[in-house]
Amino acid sequence: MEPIVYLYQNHLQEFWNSGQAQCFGAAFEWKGEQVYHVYLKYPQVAPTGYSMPCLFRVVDQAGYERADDEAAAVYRDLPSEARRVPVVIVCIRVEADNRVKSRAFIVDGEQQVEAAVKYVPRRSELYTRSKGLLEVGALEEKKVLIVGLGSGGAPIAVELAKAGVGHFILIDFDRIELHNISRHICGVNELGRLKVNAVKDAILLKNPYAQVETLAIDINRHLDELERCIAESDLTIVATDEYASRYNINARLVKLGKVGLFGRAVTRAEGGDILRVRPGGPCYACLTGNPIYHQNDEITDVRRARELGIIPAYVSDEDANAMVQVGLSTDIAPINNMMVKLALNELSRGIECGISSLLEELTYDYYIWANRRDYQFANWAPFNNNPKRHLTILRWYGVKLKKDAECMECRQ
Amino acid sequence: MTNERYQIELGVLQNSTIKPKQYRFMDMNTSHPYLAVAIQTNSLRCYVVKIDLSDNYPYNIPKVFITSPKPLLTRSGGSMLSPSHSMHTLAGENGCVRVCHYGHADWAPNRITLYQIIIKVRIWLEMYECHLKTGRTLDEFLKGAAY
Ligand SMILES: [Zn+2]
Repeated sequence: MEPIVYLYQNHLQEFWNSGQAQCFGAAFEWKGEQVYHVYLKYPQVAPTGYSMPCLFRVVDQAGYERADDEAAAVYRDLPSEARRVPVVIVCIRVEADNRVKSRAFIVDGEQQVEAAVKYVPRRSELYTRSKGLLEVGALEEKKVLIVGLGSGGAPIAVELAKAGVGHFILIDFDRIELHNISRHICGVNELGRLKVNAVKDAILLKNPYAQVETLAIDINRHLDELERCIAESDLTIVATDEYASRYNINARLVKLGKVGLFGRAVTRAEGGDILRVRPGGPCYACLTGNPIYHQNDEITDVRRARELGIIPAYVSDEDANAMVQVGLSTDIAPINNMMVKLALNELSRGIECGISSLLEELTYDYYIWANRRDYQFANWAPFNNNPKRHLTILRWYGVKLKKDAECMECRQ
Repeated sequence: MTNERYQIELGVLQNSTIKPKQYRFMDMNTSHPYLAVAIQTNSLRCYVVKIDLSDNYPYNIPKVFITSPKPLLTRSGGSMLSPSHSMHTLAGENGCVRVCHYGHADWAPNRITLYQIIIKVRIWLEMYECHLKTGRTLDEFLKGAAY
């Protein structure tokens, strides 16, 4: 296979604007794959692959045509220690119409191979490529606050970035730990990192031009900061597993008249639910005070569940451990997917686009999903023999949830 | 607790059977606010109860302690400071017995006020006195009650 060199258009432009004739960069290659990503400056997200030296040189028209000779000459001039590993050499030429052209070579001792050059486009072009159901840049100006970046919040963040949401505020004080890995979008190479940083990187890998603010704080201790974030955002995604923070967010959504989506998996991820809080509708406390609400969240961590009082102190360690039955990532995925759909629905309100039709259908404030006929869903009908169309698994149900007239959190 | 909520709690207490001299909100402008309540049981014995409001009340279930008598003992003079399912206690702190009132599954911050917690603690104390008389656990008296 012919080697491929990926160049970042904005880096090239900056280099050209600087007026330098030559400069060093860094290239990264996946060993033996012959695919090279070449950077002139340190990218926002740590590059993947193995690093190797790289040199950029500006050439004239004649130099561009015989760029292989130029590359060979540049290589000869390198100090011998730089030649101990393969080197990527890029010759850049700017045309009269300001178009940047480049030829790239991989040089290793006597061997010099020309690579195909591909460009990672600038911002304006990145969006035209995702032209589709959503208007180009329709959501670019929208800001989404995501509280909690576990197996719920993290994939939702990335999906929203893919849909073109341009601004994010991420809040979580946790780090990626071993027990998160099987369900989290982040891998073992990110163990120990703050979730806000890891998820910010995951967003930037999909949309390098997204603006992402990160706060590694406990919102229950920073209520003013929480209020600022909610006020600044068009939508709040509540994906935290802790009651007090959900209620604290709810109180501010109600106060500021903002829209929020609360998503969760219930015990052992046999199902899940989503609540939309909007001005005039039921609030999160209206839901938790309603008999329809199943109190038991999924318990993924005994220590945390004990701290929160979900597992009472008199329950033995053995019994407590039995209560922790973590669901599969695939059981969380449908809830995340619906959260994203509802989020895009809310964000595209008032914008003409291909998904507007859903606005007339997803009008409920509360949605329920069951993965299995277990526990609270044990008496639901089987999926395959259900002539009377009773409630069954693996489909969403919208629920008309009334505002609690006595609710101390949202009554006027 | 927000000021709005504080006013709601005060309103509920003022319209309740709890007399104003029985309760006092303490240290409200610190990071450790609490409600102190004096509760008299049917036997006319008096107890002082502390409802800890420091951890995001009403969003988290508040810890409730019996601060007088201290420490509260079982009929046989044993300690009640460790968690016990049958005695409806959680881990005590600073020598004070911690009472289990609302559980996680029935806690609803938009409907339950401090008044209802006080009523639950009153029931707990009545059952405690039954335990002192008979030696049976609180669990046995509370069976059937939504507790
Ligand atoms: Zn409400």
